[in-house]
Amino acid sequence: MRNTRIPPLARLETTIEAAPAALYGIHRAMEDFWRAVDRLAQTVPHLPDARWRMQFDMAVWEVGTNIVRHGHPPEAKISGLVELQISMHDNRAEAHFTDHGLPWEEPTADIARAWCADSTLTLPESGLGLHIVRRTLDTFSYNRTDDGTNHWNLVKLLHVGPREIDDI
Amino acid sequence: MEIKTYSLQNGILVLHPIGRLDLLSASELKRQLTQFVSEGHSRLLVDLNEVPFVDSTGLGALVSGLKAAREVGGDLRLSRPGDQARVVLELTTLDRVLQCYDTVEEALAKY
Repeated sequence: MRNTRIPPLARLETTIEAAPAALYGIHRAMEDFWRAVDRLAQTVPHLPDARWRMQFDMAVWEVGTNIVRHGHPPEAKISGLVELQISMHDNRAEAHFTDHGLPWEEPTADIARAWCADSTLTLPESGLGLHIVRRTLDTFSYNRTDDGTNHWNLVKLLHVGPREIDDI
Repeated sequence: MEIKTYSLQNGILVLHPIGRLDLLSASELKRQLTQFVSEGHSRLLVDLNEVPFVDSTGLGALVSGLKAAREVGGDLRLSRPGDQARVVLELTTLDRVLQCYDTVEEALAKY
């Protein structure tokens, strides 16, 4: 999905410490990113609306918190940095995280099925983050390279015209 | 996250959290909700008027409170969710189990 020939319309890079207290760095980076995107309004015909941005923000936040929470748990005593690159293209937004925390194993439990539980009392209280990520993005992928680096790629396509949640 | 006030109206405990309900704050809300239920407050209303963002861990805290309340015959409901909260509730289909109201007054009247 990455296009190396056409430069992005807007791009932002930031690095945060892999610790819960540093997570708001992601929130601040997204605010800066959207301000940069808004500066394109005079020259780019189709910029994402607030609802679209909100969904992309949610996915980026969920992946970032997953990296810190599960990839750098206190008991593992792993310190490190999380790098985030965000870019806006004419038809999509992309986010790319890299970190050196624990490898991620995708949960095998079907969280969507868990929501269909007959009783409220069996509703799961965790695992929602990945569900949100999958429902808000068009592409989500993860891989770990031989040097122990985790790579997380997030892509949300920009569909011109209104788009309802049920269409995601 | 700060929980500004608690008020008991019509036997319903109304909570007004302030700030983002996310990884950094969800555990505190979960702890307080569980404590209220254990103290006998089984009918809870969480007013989200001053909560600009709810993430998956925040939803987990609300689900935890909901389950604790329903285990003793009560319920946990929401009022005044913002745009982002409504979206995340819809995405996770939690809007089907966490009843939302546009105003606190409506929630208290229909609880």
